[in-house]
Amino acid sequence: MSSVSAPAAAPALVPAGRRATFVELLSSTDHKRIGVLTLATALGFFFAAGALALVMRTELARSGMQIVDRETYNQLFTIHGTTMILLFAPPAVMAVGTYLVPLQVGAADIVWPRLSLLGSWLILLGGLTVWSGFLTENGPADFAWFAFLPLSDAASSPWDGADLWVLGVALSQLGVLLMGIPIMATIVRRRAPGMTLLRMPLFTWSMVATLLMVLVAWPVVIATMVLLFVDRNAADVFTAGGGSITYQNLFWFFGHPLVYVVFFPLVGAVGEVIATFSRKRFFGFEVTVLAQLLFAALSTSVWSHHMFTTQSVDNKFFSLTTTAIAVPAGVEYFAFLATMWRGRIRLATPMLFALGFVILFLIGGLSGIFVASPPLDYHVHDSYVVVAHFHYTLFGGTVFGLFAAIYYWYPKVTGRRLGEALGRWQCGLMFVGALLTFVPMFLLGFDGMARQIADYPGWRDWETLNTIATIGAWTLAAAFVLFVVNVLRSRRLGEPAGPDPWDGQTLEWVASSPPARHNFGHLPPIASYAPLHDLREQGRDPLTTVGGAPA
Amino acid sequence: MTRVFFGWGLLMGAIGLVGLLAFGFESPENLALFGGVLAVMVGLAAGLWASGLGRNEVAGARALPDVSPPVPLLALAITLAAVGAEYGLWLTLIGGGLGLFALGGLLREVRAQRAALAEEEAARR
Repeated sequence: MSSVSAPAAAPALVPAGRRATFVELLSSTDHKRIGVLTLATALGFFFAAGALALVMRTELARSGMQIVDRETYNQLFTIHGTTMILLFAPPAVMAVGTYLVPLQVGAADIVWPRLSLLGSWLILLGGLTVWSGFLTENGPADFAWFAFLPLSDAASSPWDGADLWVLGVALSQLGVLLMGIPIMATIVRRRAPGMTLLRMPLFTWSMVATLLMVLVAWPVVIATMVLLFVDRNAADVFTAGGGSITYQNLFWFFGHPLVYVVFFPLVGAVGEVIATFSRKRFFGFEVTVLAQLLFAALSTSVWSHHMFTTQSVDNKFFSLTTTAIAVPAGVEYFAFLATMWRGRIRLATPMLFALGFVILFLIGGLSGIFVASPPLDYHVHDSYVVVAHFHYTLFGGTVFGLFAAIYYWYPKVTGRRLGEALGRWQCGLMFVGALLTFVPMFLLGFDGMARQIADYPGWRDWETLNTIATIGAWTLAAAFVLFVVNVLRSRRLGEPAGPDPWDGQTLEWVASSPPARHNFGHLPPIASYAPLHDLREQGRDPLTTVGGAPA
Repeated sequence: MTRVFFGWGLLMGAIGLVGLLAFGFESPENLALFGGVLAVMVGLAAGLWASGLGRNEVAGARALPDVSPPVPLLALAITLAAVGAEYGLWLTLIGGGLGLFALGGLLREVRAQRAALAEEEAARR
């Protein structure tokens, strides 16, 4: 069945009052449904991997093995890491991008929606392939999420679960790539009349920077996983000669941009939240866009800093590029602070999450500067300092940013608001939980506790700090339970949101909530990256002003 | 957007060049990866520029699919075919069969889409 986009508002795919059928839910090519389907997949993996983290943290609270054996622990941290960084974070940002980018650029739909839908399904099926290792005789992979050789070769990990991990990672990351291409094509081909490049919103620009990295890094990991599978099952590819270093180069060429791929879109989202809730235009927009493109280029040029201790890479060069990242990051932080400066700030839940993002990512970012120095990296390599550092970037950056985005755009997606009180409690618990969980890891790491160990000697006096980290992990779990309660509550009791509950600045806020099948009935004139803010400054109502081309 | 791809590719090339000239890259992986990014981005920009696909397209009606059941089926087919590499040819063949079935469905959808667009254009005339 096809519909033809027309100048007038097109009818919703599923008329009001009728529930979507099973087929519509699973195979709709509406970018909004694909976005929601993918976000549900990503959050499902997030909660599953979070459950594994709770088991691991509970095990580590005391010295000695209490809950799982060592082999199971290795499998748990492998699947936890793989799921969080490959099956939750990239799909989540692709979901948000798929939903929002067509709306932000004033398009009726995404380009190549079937490709996007295919990507979404491959992420789900690839992820299930990774997890299906638990159903095999020897369990899933146990060589950590980066699968370094020789640990991941056929001699060290001969069982089925390891092969399923390799295949699942290849399939799921192919899905991420397939979801990214239509978003970029929509930005290139489907911008509304008047939307020049520098009038695209910050979130859309952050997706551009993200997708540049996806386009060059994701094919590399897919090829690397295919080669690893061949290496394990057919012929030596990496196991001969210095192949393990080649594997690390290829993996980290994907693995480091990955960290920024799951971070940049949320920088854009947080920037929009900060501008909206400061009731100001985003400060230094053009410079921030340039900083993001530079940030993306540097992020794709630092992969070997994960390999300083191998002594097989150019440490000086990669130390320089890694340290240089502080410059565009500093520009973005300055823009955030300057946007808030003298703004009329509303501390609603999305803004609280945005502030949490700014504070917690700063800890992750600053701890990243000193591990960019090879001598200091030698000291803390493979210790809990590294675990703390990347959890501050990924949890403080990605998870706080994602919840800022969810609370901000949830009314647009569902037509109802999430509860403010529950949202504030969730934010507070997450903030306290993040500090309780990850600050002790810095201290443990400096004291010599190695990462990826199932146990530690009782005489090291690490139990107190590990217990605090475990309490923090359970605090985080409580925060996520509150989120689930909030979503369930809002389905029946949530306050109707209307098209523009926050006085937003970008085009998605003139569409109905939830938006109709082809998004817009009309578009306002687009004279800047904040067209609705322009209209309010002129004393005009963005919801009734029609001045742009027909949608 | 063509300029963005081109400029970003050049920026990556420039960073790689700094590494090569000032730090004398020793490992071939560095040259291959920086060179690869430069080639991909410049190639993409050139391709978009030459084909005209890099330009924003604002006019005209488009036929859009509402649902596409063959797509989840195709994803399942790809997954089964891939997992068949581990569990045997029989699974790959099942995946292949499902894939052919899904591609047939997609072909049918594309034809319906073209017909809907032609109908719409005829009605406008």
